[in-house]
Amino acid sequence: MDTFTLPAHIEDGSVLLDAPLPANVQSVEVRVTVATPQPNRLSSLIRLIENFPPGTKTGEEIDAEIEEIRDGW
Amino acid sequence: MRLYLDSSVIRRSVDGTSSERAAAVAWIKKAAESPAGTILLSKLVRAECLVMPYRNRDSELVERFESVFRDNGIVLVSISDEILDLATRIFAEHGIKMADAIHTATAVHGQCDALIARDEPWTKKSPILGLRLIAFSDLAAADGL
Repeated sequence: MDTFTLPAHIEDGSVLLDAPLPANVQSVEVRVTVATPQPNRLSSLIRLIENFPPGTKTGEEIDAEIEEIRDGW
Repeated sequence: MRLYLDSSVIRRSVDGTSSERAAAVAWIKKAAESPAGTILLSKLVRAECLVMPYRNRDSELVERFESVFRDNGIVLVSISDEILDLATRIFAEHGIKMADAIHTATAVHGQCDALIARDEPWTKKSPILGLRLIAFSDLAAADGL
């Protein structure tokens, strides 16, 4: 039994062959290639931050320090 | 989504307590929901984040912040003449601090969808030149962007 690969494309959700079927086809299997989704560039940043050791500053302390810096202009 | 994060958000993500960090990371995750999601920061954010670690001679914390600013997901923007002109106009017309005006101008210039900052009074001025200013505590507001 010989196996052939035929080119095809998807149109409106259906598989359409781009070449004629050979004679005496016994069975057909469809192999699809799925694009790998590109991870967002921010996923590495999220991983980086989540791996930092826990910090100690409360939101109020951070805001007060930033306020001090901005008031120093 | 293209978000501008104020220094208060970046500070929380690096040296904030676990709950502060989780809240800051939630904003980064919001931006990351779209494949082209980006975080934009002025170099002024870098400067403001590094003051305390330098003052305390905490080189480990300096490196932790620097690793964030080096990350590929961050777009770090210099303060150009154009941004400074825009900041001057914002400072004059909206009655906010000059540093806040520079952050706002950078976000406007960088065509951000929103600027996330610590709560009032800055965010009460929203919108500025079409830019939405969202309070850090109002994560739900991102759904409307």
